[in-house]
Amino acid sequence: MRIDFSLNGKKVSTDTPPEKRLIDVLREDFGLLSAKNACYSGECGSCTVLLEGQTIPACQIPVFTIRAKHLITMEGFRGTEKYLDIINAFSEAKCTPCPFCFNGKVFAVDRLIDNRRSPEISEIMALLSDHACGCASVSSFIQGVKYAFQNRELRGELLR
Amino acid sequence: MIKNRRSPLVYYPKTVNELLQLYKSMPDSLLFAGGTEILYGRREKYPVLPNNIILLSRIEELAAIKRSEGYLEIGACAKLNKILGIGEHVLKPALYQAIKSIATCEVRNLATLGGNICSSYRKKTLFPLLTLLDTRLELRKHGGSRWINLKKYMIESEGLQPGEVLTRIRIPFNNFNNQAFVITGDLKSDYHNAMTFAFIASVQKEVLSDIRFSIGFSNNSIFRVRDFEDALSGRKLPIFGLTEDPVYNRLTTALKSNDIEISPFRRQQIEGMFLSFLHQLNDTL
Repeated sequence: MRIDFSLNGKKVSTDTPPEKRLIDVLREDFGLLSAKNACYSGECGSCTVLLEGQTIPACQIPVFTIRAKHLITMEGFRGTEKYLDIINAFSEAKCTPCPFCFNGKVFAVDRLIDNRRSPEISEIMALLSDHACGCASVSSFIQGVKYAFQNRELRGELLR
Repeated sequence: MIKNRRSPLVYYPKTVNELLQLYKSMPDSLLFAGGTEILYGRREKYPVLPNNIILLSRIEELAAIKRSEGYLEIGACAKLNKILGIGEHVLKPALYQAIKSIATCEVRNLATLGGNICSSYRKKTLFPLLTLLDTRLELRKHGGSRWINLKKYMIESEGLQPGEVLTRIRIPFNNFNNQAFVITGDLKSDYHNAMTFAFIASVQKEVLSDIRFSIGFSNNSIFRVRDFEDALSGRKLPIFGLTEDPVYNRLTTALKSNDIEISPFRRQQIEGMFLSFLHQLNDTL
């Protein structure tokens, strides 16, 4: 089945069995390896991508569901200022997520700080519980999220 | 791809009428909304799906959320996170907590309320609370529709019939000013052993005018003791020493005689949960 969609800002098309998982299509048909296959239940966050601006687990949907939709993977997100807000903040806070949880944490932080208000500790902890991984310390992650929000706020002011 | 296996055909209806027509002509097709239940934990590269799939997520009417004076009406394909976006002040604390307890934020961006209700496996999460709230469901099929109470929906002969599709969920607004939704265990990593408790109560002028509580068990059955609730309703708060009261026997007897096998530890847990909610009510005075 031919499926057309937008991938990282470019219109693409793939001829693939419709029941194939999105994660496998991204990795095998497009060579985008940032999203990883791990739990197959959408719980670990390693396959997180942005579908129409919403974070979703790519292992949980067959590719036919994304026809005519906009999809962004970490490869596409890396070139944006939003990504730099987060990655610079993580570096400043000495928070270094491992490759396994990186996608989930970065996309989730992006979603959280896009709310245009300073994230509360409880919200950050809830986010962390969704992406449980022992790679980065809790305190550095909390600090990283706070810095990321400041970065975005600062950039927003500069843009104005 | 596995040789000789036919890939499914996918249909993308844009209106409910189109959907009902398609479903009538292909009653064996799979109605695909969020898909989280269908692919959960399956590791095959090419999951085996029915020959015909009808994708519901392109039907705007099914994703709509409307507020009227008396109730909140949610389209069956409204994503759980979109429902959470309405806010805790509208949903009320118990329903907000219950939805938030489902999976991770990423999964809630896919999962739908209709999917949760229709899933034969996930009855523990929202069912206990939605039944307390007198939730009603709209079931439509080509050429007709009906509204049904969620409790009746659970009875096989009255629930979804061939050709019917769950289209809307109507949750009445309520005056329950004390609510709680508690999970024991972990729904995400240990769904089978977790239990969910939903409590709602209305306290007016120090009188417990209405109290309801239900429990979701591992085998997806819902436990509720109506005569115990009725006996407590209308009592003046605070209520102390309930365990010595003959009324309390109605709860303990129901726990022992219930069709569901409940271990002594679980029974104690349930009683403890109920008494702790009662303490909360006493503290509101």
